[in-house]
Amino acid sequence: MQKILDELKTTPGVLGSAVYTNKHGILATNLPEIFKADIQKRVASILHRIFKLNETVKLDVNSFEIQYDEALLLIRKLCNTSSLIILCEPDAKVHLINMSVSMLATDLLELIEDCEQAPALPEKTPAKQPPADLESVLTGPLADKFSVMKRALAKHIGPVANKALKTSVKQWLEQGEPSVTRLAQLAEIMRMEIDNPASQSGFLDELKGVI
Amino acid sequence: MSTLQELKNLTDSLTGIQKLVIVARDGTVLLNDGELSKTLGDYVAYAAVMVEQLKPYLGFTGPYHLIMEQTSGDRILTLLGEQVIVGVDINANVSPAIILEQMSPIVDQITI
Repeated sequence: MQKILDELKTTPGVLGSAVYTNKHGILATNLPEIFKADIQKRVASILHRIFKLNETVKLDVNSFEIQYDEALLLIRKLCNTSSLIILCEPDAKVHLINMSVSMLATDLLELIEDCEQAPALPEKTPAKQPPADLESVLTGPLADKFSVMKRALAKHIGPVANKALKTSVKQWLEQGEPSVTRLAQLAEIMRMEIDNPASQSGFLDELKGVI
Repeated sequence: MSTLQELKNLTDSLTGIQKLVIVARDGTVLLNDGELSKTLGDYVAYAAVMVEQLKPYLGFTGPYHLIMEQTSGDRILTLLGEQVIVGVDINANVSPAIILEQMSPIVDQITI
């Protein structure tokens, strides 16, 4: 199943996807790591609920898309108990992606039946609350620095950089007080959001002279 | 500032729209046009509420609209304005992008 999702990810505009079932939660995923397992399960559960309303309102909705500034979410009903959630770039070519999904959906469905006995992905323990207030830190004296760091990160991971910054700052605050002298530590945390090692180095290079 | 009637007039001028429903944020149907529009109103209001529940998890700006595709190929567009939620049922052979382009600016400005 993971291979199918990885194949789907090669479609232009696709940032990642996940398969959700009512029974097992997230069965497979290659969504950006910024979306933790418990978040993915919660989001997918809410999205799948929209299909459940079909019978009540006598409609037969089998897919839908949601437009945000930073991304486009595509949700395809695989069966009554499972959905495929695809995270795309905001201006992704939906027709192209739908073609790829149509070709892969049958294979996915067969694997979901096979996976009925398989355990879901382990859920990670939610992070502890940060000691300092995240929003006030983000909008505080370091806001300009954060903005520069977010732009540098966005060059490598795209529209999820905003979310990645927040998660990284949250983690950073758990390790100490927010200060200019600790920005290098924050950059190290943010670096881990980038999959490609060469891009990780590029990200740190771009921040030289800034932090 | 736009009115519900302006939006209704616009949808009347667009081809391919089979049903129109305008719902307040509290779920009250403000205007419906077409068979079973009440059902459509309930559906788009529910979907909008569900999708807005995702905000704290995703951290994205929006959402601005949903496009739902039915097995028949017909689509339901849901536009999320500040004060209202608008649902339109459109034919399979009509581009949702064109409808969205025309309707979105008015939906954003509707006050009730």
